[in-house]
Amino acid sequence: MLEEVSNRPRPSQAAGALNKPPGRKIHSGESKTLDDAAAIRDCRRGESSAFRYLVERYQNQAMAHAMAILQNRSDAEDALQDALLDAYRALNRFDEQRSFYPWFYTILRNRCLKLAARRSGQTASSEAVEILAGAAADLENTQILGQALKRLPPESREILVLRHLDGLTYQELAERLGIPVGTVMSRLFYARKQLQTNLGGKR
Amino acid sequence: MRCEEFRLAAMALAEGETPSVPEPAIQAHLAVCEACRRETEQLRETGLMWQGQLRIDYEVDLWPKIQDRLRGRERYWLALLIVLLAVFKLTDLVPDGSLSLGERFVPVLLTAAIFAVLRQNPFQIETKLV
Repeated sequence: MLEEVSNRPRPSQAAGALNKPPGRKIHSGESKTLDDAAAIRDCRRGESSAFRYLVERYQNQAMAHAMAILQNRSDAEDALQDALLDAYRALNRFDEQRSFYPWFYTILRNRCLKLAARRSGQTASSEAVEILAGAAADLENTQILGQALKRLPPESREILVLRHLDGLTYQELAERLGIPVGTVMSRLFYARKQLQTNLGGKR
Repeated sequence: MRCEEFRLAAMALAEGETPSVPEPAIQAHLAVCEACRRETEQLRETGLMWQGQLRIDYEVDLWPKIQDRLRGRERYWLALLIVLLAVFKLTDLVPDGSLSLGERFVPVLLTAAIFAVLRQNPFQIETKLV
């Protein structure tokens, strides 16, 4: 079931820092490459097979993000498929100056949140999939944090995952979520407060 | 300035981001506000729990399904255009059905649309080695 753990380096934490997210180098999927640009150009010319490159390149990363919002593998897969088809149809409107994945993430996010709204309350937190993996020595901590995350609303879980597991900066979060940096700060703050409430008495 | 603004600014500062309030002002506020100091400390402790956590990537292979759905869409449009073309040709058989100039272009447009759906250029010469 759990096939791969992203090979992210352990985040080095500066003394006194709240929780500095891990290094950015692991986000190979986010960088705009010539291959992405070529694939997008080919898709625009009507070669749907060129879309395969984009699907295969980003599907696992996108699946992890969809799971973080929906907490259910089959829902996440449905939302991801729909988002990929939406993206294919909207490629003509894609600005080539941008990177593909952040643009696609907006489409995926909209699909996931719509589905989450329809499914609200249907996924019991005990059935929700795991999205965290910790070191063996830290297993208990991972389980506690994972359980607390499952009980958060989708948007709060999403922003915490993007910040702490993907290591996005406030500016990147603002671009990814389409909100001002000030709003990122307050959403992040309240998401952490909610998480803290869920963790209450378990630590 | 409200405590909430100091708390957000303290969080940003602790994460190495640019706070909306200058650092000396944050420090000065934390020195006198017990509630903000406690809150900031609690958030810092919760933040520490993320240390060493990794995201689980679930491997998927969506291309076969995506390809099916893309082809399904093409097939739908193709069938619709062929039916329209056939219907138009049938109306051609009606006696005394003289067509206007505009109507004569309808089959041409439908055929062009079919080629567009098939992503084929009928005038293109293939120069690539197969």
